[in-house]
Amino acid sequence: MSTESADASTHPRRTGDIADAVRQVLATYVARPIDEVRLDTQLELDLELDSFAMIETTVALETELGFSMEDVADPQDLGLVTVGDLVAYVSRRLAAPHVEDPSHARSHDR
Amino acid sequence: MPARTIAERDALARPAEAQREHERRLVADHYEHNPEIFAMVLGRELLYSTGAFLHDDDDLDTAQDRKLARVAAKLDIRESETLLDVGCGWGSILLHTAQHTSGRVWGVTLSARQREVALARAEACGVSDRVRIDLAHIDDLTLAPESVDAVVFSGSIVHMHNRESVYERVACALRPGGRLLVSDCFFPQQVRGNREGRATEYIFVTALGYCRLLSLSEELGLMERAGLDVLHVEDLTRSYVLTVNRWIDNVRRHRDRIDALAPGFAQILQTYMTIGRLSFHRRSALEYMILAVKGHPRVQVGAWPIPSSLA
Repeated sequence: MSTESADASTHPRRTGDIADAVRQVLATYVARPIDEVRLDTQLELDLELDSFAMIETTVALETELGFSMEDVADPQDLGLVTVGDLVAYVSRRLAAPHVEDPSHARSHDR
Repeated sequence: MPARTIAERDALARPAEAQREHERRLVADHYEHNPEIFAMVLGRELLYSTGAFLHDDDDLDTAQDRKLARVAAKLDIRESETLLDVGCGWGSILLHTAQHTSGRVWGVTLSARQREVALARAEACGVSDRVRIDLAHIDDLTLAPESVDAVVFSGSIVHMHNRESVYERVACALRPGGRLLVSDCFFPQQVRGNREGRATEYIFVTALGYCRLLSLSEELGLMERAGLDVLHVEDLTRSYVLTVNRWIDNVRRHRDRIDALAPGFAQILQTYMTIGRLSFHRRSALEYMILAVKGHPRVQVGAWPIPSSLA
């Protein structure tokens, strides 16, 4: 089990921490000050993140926070419009079972 | 043909020898990563190309076994025949062929580590007396006319810029009745999506060193110009989406171990694979397996689907 998932299960992150982490990753990606990445900032309209940019940023977030995105090929299908939507989504996924956790691994993949 | 991507335009600006050395160095970089990483991600068969899915919930190993069976049926190696696998990876197709036929197999890779693993696997399977693997670029090979019975490029042809010359040399090296099998990615003829954007650059350069995708008709045209006849083409785009799905799951599952072996590599793998999955999902990139023949074909493609592929 990854240390991230162990942390997540024993010390649940506060929503504020998750929001800060998401905003920081987005700010770094679009090379803007974090003040310009607020919860009501729109991912596509304001930050100009297309599907490919969403993949780059969500993979970076998965790596940093230790969760798994759902298996959707196109991130646009998740219907995330604002930074706040993404924060809420990440919070939900952090509470979901982890693919890294061997107890959740499908036996036929072994 | 005009350049489709930034990577291709850069390649066109280089002399042929410089491009060859560019491929030798940058393509090898990716595959030189610790083989343990690829074993965790790619599944039991260590096949770094699409599986053949019949059902969305097939597992990766089942799809890759089916793919190997399909490749074997198409290559149709018989007694004492020779197979050349250019970009042989960790030797999966070579070993499958050596184990299931009495043919001789010859692999070529740019990665010393892949060669080591492939030779060790050949030893473990007891087939090393019929397996030869060279550390070389295809341009380095001396290919005697009419010296091999089949040539396979599985997920490797896109790393070779100079396809015209590749197909000419392959066509010359094949014996009459010889087979060429290419399993790889293609662009649709009609442009879909932005090929000069960051996403393409990420996969073609950052992750994989160098890639050049043609359209299917351009690729087939080059084979035909080299004197080969196209026998069979199948679309595996949907299978590739499912294959990459499994790979991404495996990267997630083993992220900590991958990062311990190669810091940052898990993120590169997951990012390029997720971008790739979206491209194949949107069909802005396509996956095909092509079989061509020199002269008269021995197989009756009318009898396909191949029974072993239905297992």
